[in-house]
This record gives sequence, C-alpha cells and structure tokens, in this order.
Amino acid sequence: MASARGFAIASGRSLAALIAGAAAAVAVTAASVVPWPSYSAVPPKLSVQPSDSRQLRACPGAFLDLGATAAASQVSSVGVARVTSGTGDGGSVTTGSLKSPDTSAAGSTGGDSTAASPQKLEVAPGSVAPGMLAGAQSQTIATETLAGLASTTCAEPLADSWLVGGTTGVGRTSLVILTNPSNAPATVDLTVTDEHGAVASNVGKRVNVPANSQRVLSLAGIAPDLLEPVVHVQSRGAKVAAFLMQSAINGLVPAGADLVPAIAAGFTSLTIPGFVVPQALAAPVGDEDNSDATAAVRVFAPQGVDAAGTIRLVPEGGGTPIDLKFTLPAGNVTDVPLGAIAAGNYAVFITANTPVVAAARTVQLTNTAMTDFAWAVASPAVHGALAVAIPDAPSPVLWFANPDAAPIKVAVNVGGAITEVTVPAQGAAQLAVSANSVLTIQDGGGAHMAVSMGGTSGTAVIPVVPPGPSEAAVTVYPR
Amino acid sequence: MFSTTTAILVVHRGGEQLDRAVAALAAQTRTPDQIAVVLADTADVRAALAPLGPCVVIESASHLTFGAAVDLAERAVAGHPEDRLWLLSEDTVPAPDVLATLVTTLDNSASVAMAAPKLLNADDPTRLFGMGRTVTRLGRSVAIADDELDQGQHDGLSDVLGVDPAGVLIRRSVWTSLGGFDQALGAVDDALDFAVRARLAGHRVIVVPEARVEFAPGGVIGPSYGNARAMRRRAQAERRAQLHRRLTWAPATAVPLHWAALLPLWLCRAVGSLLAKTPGRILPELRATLAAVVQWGRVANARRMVRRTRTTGWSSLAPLRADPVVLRRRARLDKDTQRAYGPRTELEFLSTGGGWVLLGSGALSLVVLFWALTAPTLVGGGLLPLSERLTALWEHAATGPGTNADPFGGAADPFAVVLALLGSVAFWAPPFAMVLLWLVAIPASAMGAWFAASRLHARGSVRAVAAIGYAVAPPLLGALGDGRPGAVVAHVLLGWLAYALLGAKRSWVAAGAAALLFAAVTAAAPSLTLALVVVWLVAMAVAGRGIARLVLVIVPAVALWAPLVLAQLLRQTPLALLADPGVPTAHAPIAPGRLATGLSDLQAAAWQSVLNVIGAGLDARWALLLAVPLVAVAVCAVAAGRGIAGVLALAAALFGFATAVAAEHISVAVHGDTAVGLWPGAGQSLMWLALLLAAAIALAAAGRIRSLLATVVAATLLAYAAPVLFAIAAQRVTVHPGGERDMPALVSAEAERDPGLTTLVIAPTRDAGARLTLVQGAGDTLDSVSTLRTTRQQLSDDERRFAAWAGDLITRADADPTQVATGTGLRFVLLRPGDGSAEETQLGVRAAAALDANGKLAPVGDTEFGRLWRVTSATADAPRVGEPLTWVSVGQLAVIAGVLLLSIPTGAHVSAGQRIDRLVRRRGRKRPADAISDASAEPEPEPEPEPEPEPAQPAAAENEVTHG
Repeated sequence: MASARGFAIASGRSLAALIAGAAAAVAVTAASVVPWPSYSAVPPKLSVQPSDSRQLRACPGAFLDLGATAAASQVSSVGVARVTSGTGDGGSVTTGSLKSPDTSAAGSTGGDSTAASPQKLEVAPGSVAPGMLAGAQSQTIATETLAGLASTTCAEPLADSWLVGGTTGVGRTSLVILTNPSNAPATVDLTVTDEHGAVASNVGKRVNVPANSQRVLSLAGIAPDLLEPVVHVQSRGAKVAAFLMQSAINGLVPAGADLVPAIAAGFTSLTIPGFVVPQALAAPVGDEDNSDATAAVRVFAPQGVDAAGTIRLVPEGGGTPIDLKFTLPAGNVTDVPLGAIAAGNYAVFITANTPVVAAARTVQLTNTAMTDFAWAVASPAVHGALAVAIPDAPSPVLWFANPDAAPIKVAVNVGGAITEVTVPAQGAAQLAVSANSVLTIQDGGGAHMAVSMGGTSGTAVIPVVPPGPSEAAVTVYPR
Repeated sequence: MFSTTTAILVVHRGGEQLDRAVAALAAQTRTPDQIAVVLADTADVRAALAPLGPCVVIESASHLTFGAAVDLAERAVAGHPEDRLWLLSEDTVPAPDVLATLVTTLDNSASVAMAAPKLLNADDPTRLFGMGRTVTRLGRSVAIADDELDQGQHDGLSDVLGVDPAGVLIRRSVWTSLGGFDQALGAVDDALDFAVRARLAGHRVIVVPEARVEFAPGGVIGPSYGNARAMRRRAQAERRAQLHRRLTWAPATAVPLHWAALLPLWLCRAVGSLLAKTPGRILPELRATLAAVVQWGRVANARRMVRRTRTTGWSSLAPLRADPVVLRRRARLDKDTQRAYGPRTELEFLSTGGGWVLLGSGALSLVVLFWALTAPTLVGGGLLPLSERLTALWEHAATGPGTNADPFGGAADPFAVVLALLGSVAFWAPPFAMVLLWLVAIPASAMGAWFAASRLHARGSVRAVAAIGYAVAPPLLGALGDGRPGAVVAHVLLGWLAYALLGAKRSWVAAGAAALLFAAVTAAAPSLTLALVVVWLVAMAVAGRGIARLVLVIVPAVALWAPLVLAQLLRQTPLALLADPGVPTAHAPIAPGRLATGLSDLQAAAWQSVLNVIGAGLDARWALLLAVPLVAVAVCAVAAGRGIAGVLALAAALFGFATAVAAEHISVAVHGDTAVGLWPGAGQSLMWLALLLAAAIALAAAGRIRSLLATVVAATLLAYAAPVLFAIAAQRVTVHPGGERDMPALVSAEAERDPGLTTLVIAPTRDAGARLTLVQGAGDTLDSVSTLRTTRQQLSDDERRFAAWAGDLITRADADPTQVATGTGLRFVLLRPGDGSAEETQLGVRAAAALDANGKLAPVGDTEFGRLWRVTSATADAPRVGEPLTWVSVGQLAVIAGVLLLSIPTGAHVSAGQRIDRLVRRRGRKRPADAISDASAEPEPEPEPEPEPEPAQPAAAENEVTHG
C-alpha cells in the first residue's frame, strides 16, 4: 500500500516536471513563432536644406599691368572695366568694391581707383531665383604696353576650379587673380601644370585671400617660361572666383589682352561655343615667339592618365566640320594646334576618354601681326532659365552650340520680346544682342552658350555659365 | 459615621464578559449599598443585570468615556459626600472580598482618597495586569507592574502616584471636589491624572494588593487592544495624554516653550519610530500632536482645575515618580527576554561556505577585471564618465540635467539617484565609481544569490550553486562587457531584492531594504518593473498579516518614479517609461531561443572565437547546450514536493523570459539615426535568478544525487561563461578604461573656467546625415543623460530652429554660428570622425569644408576626439545655475530617508510593547501570521521571529530629554 502510494507520488511529481518542461518549451516556441506586436520609436530627424546662400558674383576689375610702376613687381590697374549687371526677374543687385591689396592705381590712365577695383555683385537672400543674377565686364585697353579687348563674366566663387590659358613666355604676362567676395577668408593652393607636367613650386601655396578682397599672383612668379600652363585653384575656407589675366607684347607693340574665367571641373565631353576666328589663320610655322599667334585648343586631363580624344570644329550656319584627334600624355598639358583655319564662327566639341578641361584660343591679326587674342573656355550646358549679362563691348553676339543629336529650341527674352533660336543637332546658332544689357534665357534646353564681341579694338569671348548646383539637403538628427 | 458604597458598573455591551462581571459583583461578601449601571447599549442587556437585584440603570445615548459615564452615574445617584464610589465595568471581575477589603482600607485611613485593587490578567490570573501607575520624569506613563508573573513581588506596595481606574474605590467627596476624571484625556491615563490631582489636594492614593480584580481590557476602561486600528488609536491617545499632562503640569512660564516644541518633537519621534521599526505610530502621534497644538482650551481647563484644588506642592509627587534605575533594569530584562524568544539567524554564513563563495567570486572579479583597477573610469558602450562634482551628481538626481544647451523642463531619471549614490561612494573621484561597480558586480551578485538561496535551504552546496550561477550569469557578463551600468546594477541588486523580499512580511528591516532595492532595481532596469510588480502582488497575496510591510515595498519606487511617470504621461508616451537609463546603446536582435539560454551576442562571439581556435567547425549556438542542465534541474523544482514554491520560482523565470522577449520587440529611445531597443538582459537577469532559485529548490529535494547534480550545474554554467570571462579579461569587449574627459583638452580646460560653454558635436551617420548635439562643459556625463530626452520623438520649435541652424553650419560657409550661440554659450564645434564608411566620410568632408570656410570659426586642429573649431566671436555666457531643490525632490527625499531609517537594523523590534502582543495572543487569538506561515510558499520557514508590534515606547523616546 505504502509503495503504491509512493509510486503515485513519484509519478505525480514526474508528471509535474514533464508539464513544466513542456510549458517551458511552449513558451520559447511561442516567443519565436507568434508574431508579437512590436513598437519602435522613430528617430526624429530634419532634412535641412541649406538656407539660401547669398548669390554672389565676383568681377575681377580693371586690367592689371605688371611692372608699369617703379617697382617692377608691383601690379597696377589700368583704366576702368565697365560692369554690366542685372537680374532676370527684376530684383535689385547690390554692387560692392573689393579690396585689392596687391594692386596700386598709380599706372591707371584716367578713372579712379574705386571704379577700377574689383566688384562683387550680390542680391538679398531669397529675393532672386538662382541663375537670375548675371554680371559681366568689359574693357578696351589701349596704352603703350597694353592693348586689346578684355571681357569676362562676373563669376560665381568656386572651391575647386581650373584656369586654362595663359603663358609666361617672352613678352607674355599671365596673372592669376583670386577674388574672394565672401565674408570669410580663403586659403588658396595653386597647382600649375604645363606641357612638361606638374610644376613644383612653393609659390602659390596657402595663399591667403582675406574676406572681400582680391589677390594677384604672377604666374611667372610660380614658374618662368610656362608655355602651356593650366592652373588648378583649390580653396579652403571661402570659395574664390579665379581669373587669368593675360597680356601679350611683341617687342614694343602690344599684342593683345584677355581675361579668362575659371572652369569648374573636367568632363569627357566639352563644348566651346562662340569660337570666333576673325580672319583666316595659317598653320603655325614653328616660330617659338609667335607660337601663340595661332588658333589652338589647350587640353588637360586632371586625373593624371593618358587621354585621347577628338576636337570637332563645326562652322556656324553649316559647313564641313573639322575633326582633329589628340592624345595627351598623363599629367601633361597639350596645346592642340587647329592648323589652317578659315575665318568664321565655330562651335568646338571636344570628346575624350577621360575627363578633360579645355579652352580654345583665337587670334586677331592686323596685317599679320597679332593685335589681340581671346581664350574661349568650355561652357556648361544651360538647363532652365538663366540671366545673361551682355557687356558693354562692340557688336556682341550670343552664340549657341548643341553637341546632341537633336536640335534644341532656345527661347530668349530680350527686353520683353521673346526670340526663339533653333540650334541644330551637332551645330551652332547665333543671336545678335545689344551691348550693356541683361537678357534672359527662358529655357536653355541643354544648349551651351557664349557671348563674343569685338571689332577693330580686339576680340573677346565669355562663356555663359549657369550657377553651380545648389547644396544638397543634409539630414540632421538632433538626438 | 454612616456612609454608603455605590458600585458604578459601566456597560458597553452584553455577553459572557458582562455575565462574569455581574456574577462577581453579586458575589461580593460585602454587597454595595447601591448599584448604578450605565448602559450604552440597551438591547438585551438588562436581563443580564438581574443577579444584581435592584439597581439604578442609566442609559446613555452614546459610548461615553469611562470618566463621563461615572460622572453621569454619580450625579444620578443620591448620596452623602462621605459615600464611596466603586468603579467597575464589564471588563472587571473582582474577587468576592475585594469590596470589603477596599472599604476597610478607606475606613481605616482617612487620608486615603482612592484605593485601587491589584489587577490580574483575566485570561491568565497568575499574571499581573497592573498595580498602579507612575510617570517618568518626562511625563511618560508607566505601569508599576507590567505583565509579570504574580509572585507577590509587589505586594508591599501601598502609596502610588496613579492607578488604573478598574475596580477603584473613591471617596465621593474627592470625586466631586476634583471634578471627576479630566474629560480631555479620554480613556488613557484618566485615573492617573485624577490620582495626581488628589495627591496635590492633600489626599493619598494607594494600592491594596490583597484586593484582586481580574481585568480583561475590552475598551470600556482604558484603551482597547486588538487590531491595528485600535493600536493606532491607543498610540494616539497615549501620546495625547502625555502631551496634555506635560502642558498641564508644567510651570506656566514653560508652557509656551513646550507648546512650541510640540511639532519639532514629533519629527524627532517620527525618526525614532522609524528606527524602532514602528512606523505605524508616526501618524497617530502627528494627530495627537496637532490636537495638542490647537486644543489648548482643554489645557487651560485642566490647569485651572489643578490650581483650584491644589493644596500641596508638586514636590510631594517626587518620591512616587518612576525610578529611572528601575526602569532601565526593566528595559534590560525585557530585552533579554526578547532575545531568548527572538529570531536566531540561521544564516551560518561561514559554516555553509558563504565565505568561500565571497572569496572565490571576489578573486574571479579581480582576475577578470584586473585591467580596470588602475583606470580612472570606464567608458564605452553605454558608459560615460560620471560628473566629477558630487553636487552636480545630486543636482541631476534631484532636478534633472538642465544645461545651457538644453534647458531642461522635465523630470530626472530615477537612475540618476542610483548614480548619485554610486558617485557618493567614490566621493574622492565620482567617475571612479563605475570602476568600483564593475569590480564588485560579480562578488555582489554571488552574495545576493547566496543570501536569497539561504532563505530556501540551509545546505551550502545548494546556496553555492545559486551564487556561482548568478555571478557568471550571461546577462551580467553581457552588461559588463557592453557597458550597460543600469543592467549591471539591476542584476547585482536582484539577488538582494529576492533575499529582502522573502523576509519582508516578517520584518520592517527587510521590508525597508526590499523597498529601497525595489526602487533601485526598477530605476536601473525599468523594463523589469512589470514583472517585479507581479512578483510583489503575489507576495502580497500570500503575506497575510505582514501586508503593511509589503505595501511599503513599492513606496520609494513610487516616490522616485512619480515625476517621470507624470511627465511621460503628460507627453502621452507611457511606453517611453520603459527606456533603459543611460546612453542609449543599440544591440543586434536576439532570438527567443538564445534569450531563454542567455546566449548574448558577446557570449556567442566569445564562443565562436573559442570554437574557431580549437578548430571545431561548430556554430556558437551549440554552446547554449551548456545552459540545459540548469534549465532541466530548475524545471524539476515543481517535483520537489515543496508546495507551490517551485511553481512560483518557475513562474518568475517565465516572467523574466517574457520581459526579455518583450524588450526585444520594443524600442523607445533614440540615438542619432537609430531607434534603440530595450536591453533584454534585465529580463534575463530575473529569469536566471528565478531559474537558479528553482534549481536550488530542486536540489534541496534531490537527496543522494544532490552533490552530483549541483556539481554538474555549477560546472556547466562556469564552462558556459568561461569564454566571455576570458574575453573581458583580455579586453576584447566594448568597455575600456577611459580618461575622465570625453572632449578635447582645450574644451575641457576652457570648461574649467566657464562650465557654461557648449560645444556643437557633429557625428556623421550612416545616411550621410549627422547627429548634431550641443554638449555642455567638459562633455556629457552619464548622470546628465535623461530618458525623457532620449525618448522624445517630437521636435520642439527650438530644436527645429537649432537643427536648421546646425544644418546650415555644416553645409554653408557663411552660416553665422553666433546666431544661436548667443543663447547657448556655443564656443566650439567638434566634428567626430566617421566610421570610415563612404557616407560618413562624405558628410565629414562636407562639414569640414563648410566649417573651414566659415569666417566666424577658427580651426583648432585634429584631436583624438575629432576635428575642432573655435567660435571666434562667441561671447561668454554665465553658466546656468542648477534649479533649486523643488518640493518634489524634498518629498522624494523624505520618503527615501524614511524607508532608509526603517531599513537600518537597530534591534529595536525588541521592546516593551511586546507585552501587548503577548496579551492579545493569550486572549485566544491565533496570530494571522502563524496561520499564514503554515500555508506559506516557503519550503523552510525560518523560526518565526517575533512580529514587531507597536511598542508603547520607542527607543528614541530619550530624544525628548533635549527637546522637552
């Protein structure tokens, strides 16, 4: 009896343990199998669109002459550059003078130093849509040592840009002009590359450009005898608008002057509209001194690899395009001579297997002597609306180029009247515009544009550059 | 001289008690000449009075006090001033010769105005109930003979200062001239007061030991005894009487002084009551004190009466006052008696191997965390340094971490109090407290589990298994490795909480300790609260008479949590209350199977490396097989035949598991771009402890195979933990020694001068965004982290403005840092390095470019904490002063201090008041505690300690020497 009772107790206990074990197994299984509801907090975040930066443009100011004063190293301004500025949608532009500590006005012939000084153009934040602020400047120079037409756009400051143009050969002066229109100082590193590759130099490193001021460096001070330089401008701190100011003198006769704006970045496909050849040019004869008296395209591949590509010149209004092939040794700059070229207006299309930066040089000859030259830099495609300032210069023409396979229709608003320009596929078109005005491209449609101008006093071409992409939004987590 | 004797019988209710009283009265050898009966309850009582023959019956509408009832009868009965009044009630059973003896006494000595009999306990007539009363120097009323065996030791007594009113024979002339009992006193010490006034009027009051009256306190004469409510009422009346006496007897000039001291004195006595483990007295005494404060009309009456009748000086009372020497001797005797009956500790700490467990776990901790010994503090994971100033720690605990950067309009985390306590332990360098916490975690866990198991079984091996298993429990090691201070604290304290909770129903000390531990554990691991509340409710359900002590258990937690709960409820985010305190630290999801066996990521990684080293191509998940012996043995607890204890333990384990699983499904805190899930380790700690206790129950019943099973369980658990222990010892964990700073030296140095400065800290996130926070002073501290802040999901307008501004600052060179800085004291911008991913690098480059370009920021350079900029145009802000202590903090502090006092073991539960408890028990009531302990879930209840009753005099009564 007792053993039966004991047996009953023992089996009862074993059963209890089994039930407990089964319950544990069920609990674990239920925890894994049953889709329990869950709750998760949502991290609070805010997508911050950088509030509208003040739209800023920097105009380099009057042309500068190196060595016009007693101190040969001193830079002095010559004359006054006429600035044309405005907005495409009626907003008002505030113009301000920038300090130019490297420049004296001693050599100026007429005009006061304030007017000669570099300018900044700005609009109140939010008052003007991006791209609707435009400015350009132009100056006809005719002194004993300088002559020519020098025009440029008032450029948007960039953190990283390329100056393609210039030379420091005999009788050639090239100045790098760093303009900082912002309220923060900038520290700029210049890296010069020429036909022999990168130029090692301590000059041009950590150049301090104070807020609201302009610094001027002679390219010859970085390295003498640069025939085909390309300058990489990298700015820490504030962004700067970099320009290259080149003048030429052959013996005692001034042989031209030009202002070259910077290019933002290299691409595998570049377009240079408005490449105007005022008269037929012969192929270079190999004369070192006059080697820049010919049309050429300067090409550089920033990524340091061998590059190869083609340059196609398409005459405006139809005609047989000229195709040139080029190869670039890694890290070297090359001036691709365009050879004998008939007078006319061309669009230059450059394609390469690696991103390149490029500018085309055209020359004005008077009685076979070079009297002016102009660097036409690659223009970015214009999408959407854009204001274009036409400088106060003789016979300005707005040029369009279309590298695509389909024609583009561009509507231009000139003083309220809409003009539609059709740019043929792989071709160019032009529109005569009035000097010292601001017109509006209603929709660029992807066309590349430039404004050329000139007459007997010289020739110049300036690119039409849309503003850089606005800053992307950043996601901010405040917890 | 002819004089009559009138017996006045005050009856509240009929019944057996009344029948005995009536029979005894009728059986007197000398019958009273008149009998007056005062009836409060007229139903079916008259029949019971029949044996008395003719008597005057007075019906009173309500229950009068005894004194008032006697007055009523005295006025109703015609008579001569030389008459005598014999005061009786249904509670008194006089021996047949009592009246004769007393009358003879009064007849023989004309100076005697009042003669009292010897009162014997009605339930046990061999014991004295009382023989006269006296007062101490402080006005405390004490019985001359107090629940002693009647061996005639007091039979030499004659003159006394006061008496108990039961069975007293009084001259009617004295009664009328003195105005009877002072109505202000109610039921307590009325006769004592009357006797004193009689003495002051030149009469004598004596005790007649030969007259024996059996007395059962039923509430008619004197206060009633019995349930807790009656106890409280008695405590109030006693205190009221004492204060009344003090104000009445004091010299007129001293009265205002006494009056002013009433409330401060109450406060001191409240502290004393807590230390004496008699918290039930605090409120009744407050009521008595308040009554004494306002009812000074009664005092004036009493003083007038004394003045009118007094003929001799107060000094005539002096010889009859209590002799302090005698009192002291009696207290000592009581204590000895109690000690003889009292609880004996069955801990046998050393003899059952507690010492070895402590030594072993301590050594293990030293070996594993040897590298931490020299660290100023620990950082990594959820760890940050603590504030270096104790004042800051306590400020954060009291009013929440307000900073210039984020003026705080919320409630402090309860955990901040725990941190403040920890920091105060390492008062010389509060950040070092984290090192201490880490070092003691393993041995303290071991000891907690050891003590908890000691409540279950006396055998050393059983206790040791629980201790070892808990010391190397995966949730503890995981928390130690990942740097989760809350989880570590919760794990360490859980064992102690179990120990205290298992004893809470019997002891105020244990209940107080359990209350503090409960508050600390819920503060450290809020996710455990629900499971712990369930455990607490179950404990209440089986507590029986100790329920008041168990109710106390949640009081400090409620006080601690109330502000935060209110704040979260007002914000309509009740789930956010579950958020783990401290820096939100995310973890990878853990599957339920791994939760059940405690295989944390850290453990899995440690095992994987071990398996890799020995070349076994096994998945680390096989390691969880090592937890199987524990689970198997624990499950057998239900078969141990120890009642429901095993079931309860396993149920607790299930709750712990459920908590851990639920924690895996909830994430309420936010850190940057991550929603941080609750840490399931806290639930696992509860589960692990419950499993170990269940295993202890099973092992206790295991018989011959006990030691084998114990060895297997302990060995597998140690083996299970070994790789993690090694990983911690080899510092292959997140936690690492830290400097005392979390900021570049320049910021720290500047913060020394200007603690109000703030730094914008930019931490890149995985989506090329940035976590942007303002950090005050020398960096965030652990105690300045607030769950109210980390769980807030809405962005205030201020925060939106701040985010927009900060977003501008890291994207635009021309953003103005001073725009927001003016209000915040922004002085630095710190860009933390990214983790190397493309997105974080991209944000870093972008932000660095914008900050570099900013004209109002000056780059300082790269530091080990990131790249630093200084705001050049910032103006210094005055540091924000911490909020003053609010009434909320004062309330919290009072509650915690009270419970703390209660939890201090003072040995005061041995006291004179024990007598009442014995008295009640002897009257045939089975104590509920006994009844419950029979059905108690505890397998081996310790010898019942004497329940703490409400002692008549707490140990702290001597406080009054300085105040009275």
